[in-house]
Amino acid sequence: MAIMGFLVHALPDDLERVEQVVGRMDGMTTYGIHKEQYIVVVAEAPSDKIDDEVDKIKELDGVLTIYATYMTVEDEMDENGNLETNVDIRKILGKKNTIDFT
Amino acid sequence: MKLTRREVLKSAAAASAFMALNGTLPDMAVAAPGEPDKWVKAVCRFCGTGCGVMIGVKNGKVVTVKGDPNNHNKGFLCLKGAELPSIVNATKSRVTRPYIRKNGQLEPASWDEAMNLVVSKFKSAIKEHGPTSVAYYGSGQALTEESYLANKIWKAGLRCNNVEGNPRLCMASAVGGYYTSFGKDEPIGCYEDIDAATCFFIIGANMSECHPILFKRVAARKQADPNVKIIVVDPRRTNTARIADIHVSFKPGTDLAILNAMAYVIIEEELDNPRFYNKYVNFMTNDKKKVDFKAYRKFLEDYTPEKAAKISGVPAEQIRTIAKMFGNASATMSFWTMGLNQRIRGVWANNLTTNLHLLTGQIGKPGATNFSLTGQPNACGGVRDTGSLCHLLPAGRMIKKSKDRAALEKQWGLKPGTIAPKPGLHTIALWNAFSEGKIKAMFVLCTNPAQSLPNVNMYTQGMERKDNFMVLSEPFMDAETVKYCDVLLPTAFWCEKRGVYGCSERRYSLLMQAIDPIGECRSDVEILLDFAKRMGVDPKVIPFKNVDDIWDEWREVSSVTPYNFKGMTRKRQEKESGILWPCPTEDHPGTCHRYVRGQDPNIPKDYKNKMWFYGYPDGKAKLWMRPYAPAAEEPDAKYPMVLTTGRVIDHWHTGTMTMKSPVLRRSFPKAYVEVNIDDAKKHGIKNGDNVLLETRRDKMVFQAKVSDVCRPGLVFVPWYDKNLLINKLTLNAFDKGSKQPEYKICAVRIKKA
Repeated sequence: MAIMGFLVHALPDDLERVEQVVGRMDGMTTYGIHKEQYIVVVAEAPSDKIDDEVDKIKELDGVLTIYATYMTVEDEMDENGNLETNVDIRKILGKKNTIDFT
Repeated sequence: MKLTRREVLKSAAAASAFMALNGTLPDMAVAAPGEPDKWVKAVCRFCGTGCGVMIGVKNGKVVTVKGDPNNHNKGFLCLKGAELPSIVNATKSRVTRPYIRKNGQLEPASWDEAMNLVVSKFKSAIKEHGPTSVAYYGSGQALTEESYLANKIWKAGLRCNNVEGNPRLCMASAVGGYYTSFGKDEPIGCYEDIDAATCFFIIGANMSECHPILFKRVAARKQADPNVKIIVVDPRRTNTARIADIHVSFKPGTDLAILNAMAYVIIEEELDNPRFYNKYVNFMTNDKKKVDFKAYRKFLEDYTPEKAAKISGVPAEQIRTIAKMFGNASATMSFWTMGLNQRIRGVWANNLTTNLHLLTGQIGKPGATNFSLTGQPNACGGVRDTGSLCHLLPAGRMIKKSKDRAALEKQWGLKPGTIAPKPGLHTIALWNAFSEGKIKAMFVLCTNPAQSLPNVNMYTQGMERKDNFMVLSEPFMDAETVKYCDVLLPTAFWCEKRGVYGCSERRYSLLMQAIDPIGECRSDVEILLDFAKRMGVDPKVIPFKNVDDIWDEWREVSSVTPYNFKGMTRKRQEKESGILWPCPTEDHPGTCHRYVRGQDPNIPKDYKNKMWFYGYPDGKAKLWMRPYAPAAEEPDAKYPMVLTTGRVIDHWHTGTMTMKSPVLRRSFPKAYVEVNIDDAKKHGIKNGDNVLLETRRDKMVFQAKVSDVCRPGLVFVPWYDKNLLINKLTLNAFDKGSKQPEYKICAVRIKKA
């Protein structure tokens, strides 16, 4: 699981509702409303899915935008330090790429 | 209370958000054990905003990135920046050893074999055809030390001025604009001006997608004071335009007429500032004759709002409104980028935007400035400032000026006359010459020309010739240019090396090395030093042992020029999160506003005037009378629409980095064409349909996104996708002054495929 720290910037009238909705979403932990416009949130999700989860927040009524501050993928590394999402580029490009990677 | 490691990581994530918000850590954020082994200070790898990042390293791997709260971004990052760990760890896509092309295929080679071949090709080209038969093509993503070193190897060591780079494709018109208006390159103000501005004039820039962290600062300024006005001038209704007080949509290429009409209104409404321009400005005709204000006013009679409306399609009343907003504001800050620069009249468009500031005196005071945004992380600090283009020398000196050559030769300890007096070939001329077999050997470093050059089929065909030679230093195996190079060198990527990035606001920040290069990769400094040695360049000319030696020499070279950043020692850079030049001494804080007495250290404290535009001998800036002129390829009966290209928020440049992040890849998996609703109806196109785009150069099918973003008659395609390579369709006509190509406008026809 990747962990991402970010701020949700929402309209003042919607802040409390947005915070409640985000707090109920899977993998989201909220840390209160600040400066009358921001909600501090930490998301936990696989790194290739985390953006989809954060996008769900962007779609909520009253949310203006999201600002990232932190991302860690430490938990997704195997003992050799390889990321699960480190895909061999041949899989992306198919057979078009003829270069020898070995 | 004992936290689990996961809780520690979560509290660290929350703490970074609190830090960005308040500048201090909350009590709950006491993470220490379980966090990365070390934090290393660096700068984001992507756009020219230059956000500071802290890289978390554990067991020799990058596991975390967070915004640097001490840099200008105050801890914030965009999603691309937050995705850097995924990209650094995309090791399976990396070039990890040298390759030599044999019988059409790249085959593994040793460093010695690869470098011996490179050097033999360069030596034989120089021996048979002279030093102008070889070239260097660098990048606004290379470290400052890399660009400075390559520039010196070529211009002083090989006596060859064919030194170019991809900033020619993105920033050359801004350089030309600043040079012609002020006699010196680079912005006058800084990001702090955003916090004091009361009006933002954003033209030809989609800040919300291309510079999101700066856009956030603009939006925060607007939110803090609802009286702050935002004007966006753009043929597309981008997300940037959606928060504007006024969005001005216009026929692509006609902004020159709009800018002149704004000047007309500013004078008509007596919002001009004669006290300022009488003291600090010369009025210049297009053919470089000095005239008076009356002549300028007469020139503007061709650009009444009504006349400009006919040219641009913008209602005259809207032009009047934005001109009054610009002139009435207590502090107006302009932003622009590729929409003005990537044009055959790019320098003129830059001049005309600056004119509005010179006319109103909206310059040199907090919040009032003309600010060119940069597209790459080190186009300013790396290429522009070190003079790594074919007509430049370091720190704003020009090759064609004998005094400038002599001064640098003295500083570099060269025999007088060593630097060739004739400028080299600019990017398009250089690649034309390579395609014609006239340039025999090309060293390409940290850039991907097989995707980024305009009308690119012409140049990839040239790259396939057997009688020319291209060596490419590149981190990623799937970069398009890898298909064409003769030798491929494995280079260290981003935090695998150390050096400086200089962002849009003249801020130089040190990137410290976080991890070792993978495989057999070497830093580009090591590669270039090895190249120079093997080429037999005099060790007195290239005496450097490491990257820090290069920085120290560059500081010294700058110290006798107005760029002076001698005070930015390595020790200081390691501690601080970026310093703005000029910065002449170690105790100097850096300079927010150039040309202003009391701020710019180049101006004596007792200088008689508040401002001094010292780029010109008489201390005055130039206001240029630039006429409207059409694009190189206007729409016609055969190709009735305009094609424009650009970025999307989740991808950067040719996608070699951002396509490595699964998140970013999935959000925009492939390029598309944005079509206006009315045009879509006319052509029977629905959202998601395949659409054939055809220009005079090539044709290609894209999936349609039907919306109101493009104005009718305009289509937009992002350029990050190597599999749908839009630069096969774009035009390589270029600005006569800046030599920058017109990516932003070419004629196209579309039909449902």
